[in-house]
Amino acid sequence: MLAFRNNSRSPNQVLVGVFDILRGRGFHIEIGIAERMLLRPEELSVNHDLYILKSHTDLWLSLAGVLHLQGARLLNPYLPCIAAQNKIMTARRLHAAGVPVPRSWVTGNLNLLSVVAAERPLVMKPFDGRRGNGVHIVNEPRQLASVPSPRRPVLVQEFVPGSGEELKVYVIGSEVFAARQSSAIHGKCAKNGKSLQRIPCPVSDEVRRIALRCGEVSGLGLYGLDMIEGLDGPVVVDLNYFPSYRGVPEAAPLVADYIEAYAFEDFPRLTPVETAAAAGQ
Amino acid sequence: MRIGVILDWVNPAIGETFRVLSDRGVKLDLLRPEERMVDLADLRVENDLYILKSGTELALSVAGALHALGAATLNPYPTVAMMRNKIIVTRMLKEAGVPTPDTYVASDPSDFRPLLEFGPLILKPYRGSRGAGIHIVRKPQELDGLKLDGLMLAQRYHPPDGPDCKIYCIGGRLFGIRRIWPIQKYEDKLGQPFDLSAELRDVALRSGAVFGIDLYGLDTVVSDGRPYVVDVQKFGSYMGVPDAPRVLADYIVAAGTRAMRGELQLSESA
Repeated sequence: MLAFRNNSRSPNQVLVGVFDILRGRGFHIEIGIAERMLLRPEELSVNHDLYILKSHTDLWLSLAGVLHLQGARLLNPYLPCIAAQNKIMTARRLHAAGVPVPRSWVTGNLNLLSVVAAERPLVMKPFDGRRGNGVHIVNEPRQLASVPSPRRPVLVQEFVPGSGEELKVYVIGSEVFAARQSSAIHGKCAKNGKSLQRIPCPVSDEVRRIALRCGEVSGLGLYGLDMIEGLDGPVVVDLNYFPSYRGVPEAAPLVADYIEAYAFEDFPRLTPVETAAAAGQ
Repeated sequence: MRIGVILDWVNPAIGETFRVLSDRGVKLDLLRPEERMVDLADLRVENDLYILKSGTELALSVAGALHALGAATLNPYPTVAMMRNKIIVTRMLKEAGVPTPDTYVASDPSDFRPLLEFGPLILKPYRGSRGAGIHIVRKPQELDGLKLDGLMLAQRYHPPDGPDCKIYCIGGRLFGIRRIWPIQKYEDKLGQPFDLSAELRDVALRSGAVFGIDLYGLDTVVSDGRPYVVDVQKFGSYMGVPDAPRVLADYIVAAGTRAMRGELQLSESA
């Protein structure tokens, strides 16, 4: 028995396909759509064999945390998902694992940035932002003055010059797919919430190696990466759990197979205290 | 022993703890991430143990990055990250049989309106620390004036019989401090030590055990003679706790010793 969760009003077509395939294989699937009502945390308890965490909202991540501590099984696993939500942790961890990432800084005081801003263009991102929200480009120090003082920490990264296109990389277990999309950062932003076009493209050995390394490091099995193909090769600028898989026509059966295999793996059932204690190890 | 402390500011009890630690030969590395420009590539594990004192998002992120690089953190980073979320905390306290006020979650404060028919509520941001953004709401129109700031928690307001009861735990030792809320002046922070009843001791120990930690602070309210836990802090202020600096220093040195032996598990319960 499975519970899927998402909060999307227009369901993702890949997910719809995944659900159809899994239902055909005898899985019972329940879809949770929240955000709309009063919730009582104490009424939440584990009553499914597997929870699929597709949503990235604060509410679902909170509920996932509650379920995780009660010993529920989540895909992707809960702790890797909350780690992936934090761009500061992710950038440091990927860098330590030898994954090419832009040079990165953090500070609570934007005035301290003027020295590095004088040396190179910078990209500033909210540490927990999604889909390019709140991203600022700083080409020269004086532009720092017009950046609103952030209420949340920002990850500051060296701007990686590329072709003006971003490589959207999608991973399903050990399968890697890629599509090109003109970079939102280059000012060709989608208007009225319309999505930018993605054109599937072949995956080079280097992109594949980097993509799979990111999975090993992050503990995610269903994830997406944004890469920029810079002068020195591909650079990872973002990591997300359970991406849209938009532009990957063959994604649905592969995601369904991945979920099915995961659902039948051995999984130790822990009590809440054991789960909390395991978190400290 | 080298101990890193991630902090934003230092209260007198913690400042004195640092002096005791230094006297014992501990090398302290005070990290204030807000005031520096941190090149992430330079962020390395340079201490035997990191104490996560600050509750800012940047401090948590820095601690998370250090944890991912293999650092021992006190309390353990994943636990602290989960404890930051009041939805998770409330549910876990319930799991542990700890009395908490009835709790509701919504993204839009007006969703709480029907609940006001049954009495006042305390509204809190679902992530937060040090009482920031907390409102007592009695009338529906008071909800209209509230700034939308993401997910909110509403808890049934139980009028306290007297001052709030702060409970601090250091390695299983419990300390009770009565403190008025809201604080009017600095001396109020010290409060009055008091002897914990068997009921409060039980509530306090359960509140830490469910997270697998034994260094924490609790806010409790006693209303109509019944205690309710309204907040758990990953690292209390320990203000007003008699002999806190020495007891804390003992605990930190013991934790550092275990971390140096590679025993990252820092809770007594495991």
